[in-house]
Amino acid sequence: MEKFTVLTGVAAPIAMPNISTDLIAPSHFPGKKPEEAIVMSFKDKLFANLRYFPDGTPKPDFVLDSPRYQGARILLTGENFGCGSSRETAVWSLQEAGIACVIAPSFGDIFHDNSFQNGFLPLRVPADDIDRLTKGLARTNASELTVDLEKRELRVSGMAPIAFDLPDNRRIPLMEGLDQLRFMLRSADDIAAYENRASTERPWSFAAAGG
Amino acid sequence: MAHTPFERIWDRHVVKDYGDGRSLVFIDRHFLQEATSGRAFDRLRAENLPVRRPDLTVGTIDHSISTLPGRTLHSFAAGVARNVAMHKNCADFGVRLFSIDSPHHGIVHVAGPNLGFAIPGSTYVCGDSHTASCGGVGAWAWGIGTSEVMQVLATQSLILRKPRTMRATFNGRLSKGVYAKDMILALIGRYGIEAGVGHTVQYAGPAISALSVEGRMTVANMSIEFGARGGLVGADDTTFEYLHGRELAPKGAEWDRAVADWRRLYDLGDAMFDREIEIDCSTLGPQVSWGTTPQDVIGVNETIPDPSSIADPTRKAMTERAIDYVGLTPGTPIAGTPIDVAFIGSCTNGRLSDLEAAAAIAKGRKVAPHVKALVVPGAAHVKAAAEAAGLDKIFIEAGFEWREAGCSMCVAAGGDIVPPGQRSMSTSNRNFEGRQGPGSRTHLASPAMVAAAAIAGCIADVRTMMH
Repeated sequence: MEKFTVLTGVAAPIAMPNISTDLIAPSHFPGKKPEEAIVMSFKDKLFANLRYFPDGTPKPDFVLDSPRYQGARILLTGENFGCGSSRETAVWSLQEAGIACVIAPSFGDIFHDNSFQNGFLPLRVPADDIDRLTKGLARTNASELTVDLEKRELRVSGMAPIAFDLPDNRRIPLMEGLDQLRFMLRSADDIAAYENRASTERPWSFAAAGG
Repeated sequence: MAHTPFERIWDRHVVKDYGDGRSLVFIDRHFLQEATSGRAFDRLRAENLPVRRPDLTVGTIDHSISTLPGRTLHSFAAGVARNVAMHKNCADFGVRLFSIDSPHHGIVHVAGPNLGFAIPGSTYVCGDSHTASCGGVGAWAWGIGTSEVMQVLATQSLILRKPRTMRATFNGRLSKGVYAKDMILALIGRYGIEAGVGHTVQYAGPAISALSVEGRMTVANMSIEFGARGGLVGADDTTFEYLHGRELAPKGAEWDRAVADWRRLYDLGDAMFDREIEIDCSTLGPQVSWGTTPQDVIGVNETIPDPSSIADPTRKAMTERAIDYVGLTPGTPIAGTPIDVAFIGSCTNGRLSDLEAAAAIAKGRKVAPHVKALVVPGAAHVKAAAEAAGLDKIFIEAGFEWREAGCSMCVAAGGDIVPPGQRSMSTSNRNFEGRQGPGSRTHLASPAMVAAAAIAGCIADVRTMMH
């Protein structure tokens, strides 16, 4: 997995709370048949219901389609981003579109965990700070924001840096690009010992799938 | 401070404490479905890893299939590749698969408890956010992503941060025409869709104890709409009676030992929860959602909220956007709103008691001519039991379509989709923009309320149709 240390890129604001994983990565594409939509890239389906009318014609005002936000790497958005379905395609779709970080006051639990599994940063930042960042970015032409995991701060030119909290058990694996499966496999002996113990204590919990 | 049942379950499943707030937790039960497991198996192949515990793993196919009578794995073109891959993956890795020809086939969260695969006190996961349904039998069950599915396949464990605890107490007794679905919609409506984030919720109180196991599954099912990955109901005699003798449930002396253990596990004593909330069910009427999140809930005799009366600018903007999307008028009654589609089914409300409640309203009546009405049993065993009781005939005579089991219109799956701009009254769990298809408008309610709306042709108070 790619290491995430310092990211500088265009940050696009989507000022909307409760963006569900259904909205991020819809199972359908407006105006297309299911068998056409299923073979489309995740990137092309990203936010399709915010981006297109139900008949498939583009909406004129979707932020990621405006010239200013081409190549966006970061999203600034509202509370509870990624609520709903467990679909990991929500993370994969954002990544395929070049986005590596979403900054929001809060996140849906499953999306939040899925993000870290893919080296993608869902960064919790208070709404007031997001407002300040959005206003600061609106003043600059470049729209660029820096997310610095080493210093734990957000930087926009012309503004004082904004510090953020991220526990080390989230931050360090991201910075090291650690693959969680590899890490877990190191505990194989512990798992085997647990199985031996638990299958004696609670035999009814084992051999469940039947024949 | 006395431990809560959830904390006891947590403690007995910790394989290893990493000492930094994370623990490796053993997974007792893993139910796979085809839509979220494909890439997980791909990774196992790439790493040349086996499934560590095929004896603790089963699979089914629920999202990518047509529900039309006579369907095969190939009937829904967009799902064929996934369905074929699921068969191959389960065969290659030795996982028992309940495919569409099995009497145990069904939506994963309807099939799991029916099989006795979900048991009290177990850690139970599936790559689907509504896995908490199995909390209805006292399993600590939660939804996971595809990376986690892969990790459970490879290691039978997950790295977790211990959730906080919350007890949601439902006091009082439900009145006629009010169901488990109304209880959970009311809870989410009152406390909001983020209230449960970071928590495992224990649903308790007299109104929960009085529910059947199926009703408890409906409540636990929507834990994720409350923000909580997991939610559970204490196992009691109702639970044990439900589980006893099921295909994969413990048998004989093991069963007796298990029940004794489960009673101790769920003895609440003076357990202290991190947060306590409550709902009074005695004054609760039928609930219906009006907007685009599951917290946008009102009583069927209430009016659409008026954004001009909301001071908070974010909330006001959200309400305006939602009302615009669903095409309703602020301040007007929700009852009487014409509908185009009625959907009865899903992992929330696709069980036998749900179909019985809907059939009691449909019996001897006709679906309004402009309404497309579907009944999609949650599993093959539900369909068989409903047909044995003659419910299929009641629905068909009333003008409902009678389908095969699957996820169907809840998530615009298998070709069952609400067309753009149409209004659906649905027993499912999400009213998000685009959830039932691009431009679809969804109102969530109980099976009886959806049957009532199908017949009236508009949102209606089901109590006026009950004798």
